[in-house]
Amino acid sequence: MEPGPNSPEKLKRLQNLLTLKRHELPPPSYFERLPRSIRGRIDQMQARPARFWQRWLEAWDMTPALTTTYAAVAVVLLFTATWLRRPPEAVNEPQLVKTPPVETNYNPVLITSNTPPSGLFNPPSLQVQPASAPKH
Amino acid sequence: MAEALSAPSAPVEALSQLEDILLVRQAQGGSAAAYDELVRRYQRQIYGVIYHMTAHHEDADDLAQEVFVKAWQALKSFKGDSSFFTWLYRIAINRTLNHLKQRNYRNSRHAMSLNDLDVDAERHPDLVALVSDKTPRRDLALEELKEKLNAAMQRLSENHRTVVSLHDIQGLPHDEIAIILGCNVATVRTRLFYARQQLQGILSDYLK
Repeated sequence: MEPGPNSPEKLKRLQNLLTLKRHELPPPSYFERLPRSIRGRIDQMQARPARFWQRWLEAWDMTPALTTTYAAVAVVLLFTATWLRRPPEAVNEPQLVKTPPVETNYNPVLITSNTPPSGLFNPPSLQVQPASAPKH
Repeated sequence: MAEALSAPSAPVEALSQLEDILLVRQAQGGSAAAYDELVRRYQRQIYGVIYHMTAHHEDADDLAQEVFVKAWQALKSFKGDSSFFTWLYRIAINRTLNHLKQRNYRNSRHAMSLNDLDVDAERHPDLVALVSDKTPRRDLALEELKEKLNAAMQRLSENHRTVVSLHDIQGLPHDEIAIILGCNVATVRTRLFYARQQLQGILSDYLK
C-alpha cells in the first residue's frame, strides 16, 4: 500500500532526499580561499572608508525593519508636504464655476403666423387678433 | 573569563580554542586574527545556507563575502543578546532575501552551477537505497537526482526555501530559526509544513 501524501514514511524519504544537499561541495580549496578574500575586502574597505550615505544605504540590508520605517516616514512626509502646499482659499471657500459665453453666429428668427394653431386651449372658434407687423 | 576578555589578542593557534563571545570581544577591540577565526568557524554554514537559497555558487560566494564584511562593519553594534552565530545568520538571510528580490530567480533562466558531492554522499545508506531501490528508474544517477532536488527547491517561495534550508538541510532547531527570522515558532512550523507538502508534490516520483 502506497503511503499517503502526508505520511511519516514519505516525510522521512523527503528528509533523506534533502540530506543529499548537505553533501554538496563548492570547488576544491574554496574554503581555504574564502577567509583571505574576506580579509582582502575588509582591508580594502578600511583603506578607503565608505562615505556616510554609503554606510547608511548599506545598513538597509542589515535591518529590513529600518528600511520599512524609512519608507513609511518618506510616504508620510510626501503626503504632508502635498497637503500643506494646497492654497488655503482652495480649502475653505467654495468655487463658483463660470462657463465662458459661447459666441455663435446663430440669429434666431421668430416665425409668426396670423392664425394661431388650433389645439386644446385654442379652439378654432376662439377669435384671435391677427398679428400686425411693426411699422418702421 | 574576565582575563580572557581583557586580553588584547591570543596567539593564532589558541584562537581556535576560544569561545565565540571571546573572539567577538577581541574582534571588537580590533583583532583581525580573532575575526578571521570566526570567519573560518562559520564560513561553511553561511556559504551553505546562501547556496541552498540561491542554487548558484558564484552568487553564494559573493554574498558570503559581503555578509562577513557587513558583520565586521556592524560588529561594534553586536551586544551579545543572541549568539554570534544567530546574529550572523540573520545578516546572511536578510542579505540573501534582498538579493533574491532584486533578481527574480523564478523567471530567470539562471544556470545552476552545482558542485560535486563529497565522498560521504556516495556511501550514505539512505541515499544509496533511495537511488538504487526506491526510484522507478533504477539507473537514475545521483547527479540527476541532485538537479531535480535543486529545481524543486527553487520552485518554493523564498520564505519556504529559507526554512527548509535552515531546518531540513542545515539541521537548525525551530526556535533558533524563529530567532533568526524574527518570527514565532508556529510560523516556522507552518512554513515548513507547506514547504514539505509542496516538495512532496514536486518530487513525488522519488518518494514512492
